Amino acid sequence: MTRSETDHLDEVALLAVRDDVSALDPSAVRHLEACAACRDELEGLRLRSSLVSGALASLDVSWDIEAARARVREAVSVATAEAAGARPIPLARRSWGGGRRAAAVVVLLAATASALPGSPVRQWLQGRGDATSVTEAIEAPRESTGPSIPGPESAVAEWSGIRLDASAPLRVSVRGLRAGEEVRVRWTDGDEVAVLAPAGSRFTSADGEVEAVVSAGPVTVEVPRGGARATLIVGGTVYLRSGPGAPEVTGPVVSESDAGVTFRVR
Amino acid sequence: MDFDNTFDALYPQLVRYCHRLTGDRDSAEDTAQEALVRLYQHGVEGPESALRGWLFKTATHLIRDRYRVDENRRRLLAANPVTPTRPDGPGEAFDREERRALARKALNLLPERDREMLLLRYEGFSYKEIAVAVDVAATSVGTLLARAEKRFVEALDGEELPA
Repeated sequence: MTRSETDHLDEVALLAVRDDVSALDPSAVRHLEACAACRDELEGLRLRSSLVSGALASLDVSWDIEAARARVREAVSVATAEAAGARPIPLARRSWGGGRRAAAVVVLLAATASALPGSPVRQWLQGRGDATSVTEAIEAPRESTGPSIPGPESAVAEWSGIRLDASAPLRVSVRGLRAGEEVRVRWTDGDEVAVLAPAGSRFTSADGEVEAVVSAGPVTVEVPRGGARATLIVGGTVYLRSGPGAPEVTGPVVSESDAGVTFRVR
Repeated sequence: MDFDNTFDALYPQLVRYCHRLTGDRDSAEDTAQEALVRLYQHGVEGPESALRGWLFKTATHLIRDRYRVDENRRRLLAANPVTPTRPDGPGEAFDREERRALARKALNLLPERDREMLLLRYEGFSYKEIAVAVDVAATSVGTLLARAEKRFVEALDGEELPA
């Protein structure tokens, strides 16, 4: 059954015209051109659209998009890491800068997740300059370490870590290591201190302090060269102090080079 | 698209849709975030239009699930009363609040699916995209949308929106 050119267009057809959804058949077009009633109806629908649009807009509120971006980014990181079987790392237990804390947690979780081939986190982190550099810096030891100061062992399937701004003095305390296990300090060109340990390790941070309770060795501590004021304490014993001058090495050294220092726990 | 591009392109629209649909700010943020998390968990890829369709459909289903229970729905409405109260501020502020309350009330009078379709249409979704998002036949969208829009305006008219 075909419509006659004298038939008025129904509301659905006029709505489709108004919303530019589909083309009318030629007879309907001719009718619309000739029929004042249908054109009035169409104009009424356009006014109705404006009314609806305005009413819906009245419901809208303003949003803090940047805060939402940080929340969503962290949620995506955590969820993807958990899906990958990584153990979530507890947040700082004491007062700490929100952005700083979030950045550290995101980094350590994202690092674990992004190590997985095809991980969505890996993909989106690649579009983010700061996160990419951090992630690559964490992964870097496996690819770029010198022979004297290796990074996390390739035999360690999963590992986790925390990264902190080193612009202020920082105390790094490592607990849980057994005699014979190693702590490797690597000098870096960055401006952050990082502590990396096998998965299952726990990290707690507060103002100027980070504590790592590790599940096993080895532990790698990355320290910026030249100026970062960091103190490394292992099992209650000070192993190293770095500052503006030459680092003060007081722990049980196994080897030392320009790349860093390796300690073996006694 | 990487995270930032996806977020910038889709989050503002998504959270606005969720807020219009629920009337609840926290719920809207939670839902939009959850939908984006699922997008990455599922490794959904494609052009922006495809990601948008996936996100809005997911958000719509999350909201349906969240508010399926009548008690939850009543709680939500109770937390976001639709009866305007005159504030102490200037009349303009009152009008704005009154318009918001009346629009919310009119929207809440629509059946769930009509409400979803209307909001999706006014987010710029095509009939085909709406059909996918709310699980209806594409051929039915025009009729259902016409009805939803008409009911919404009738509800608004019944409340005599301030000029």
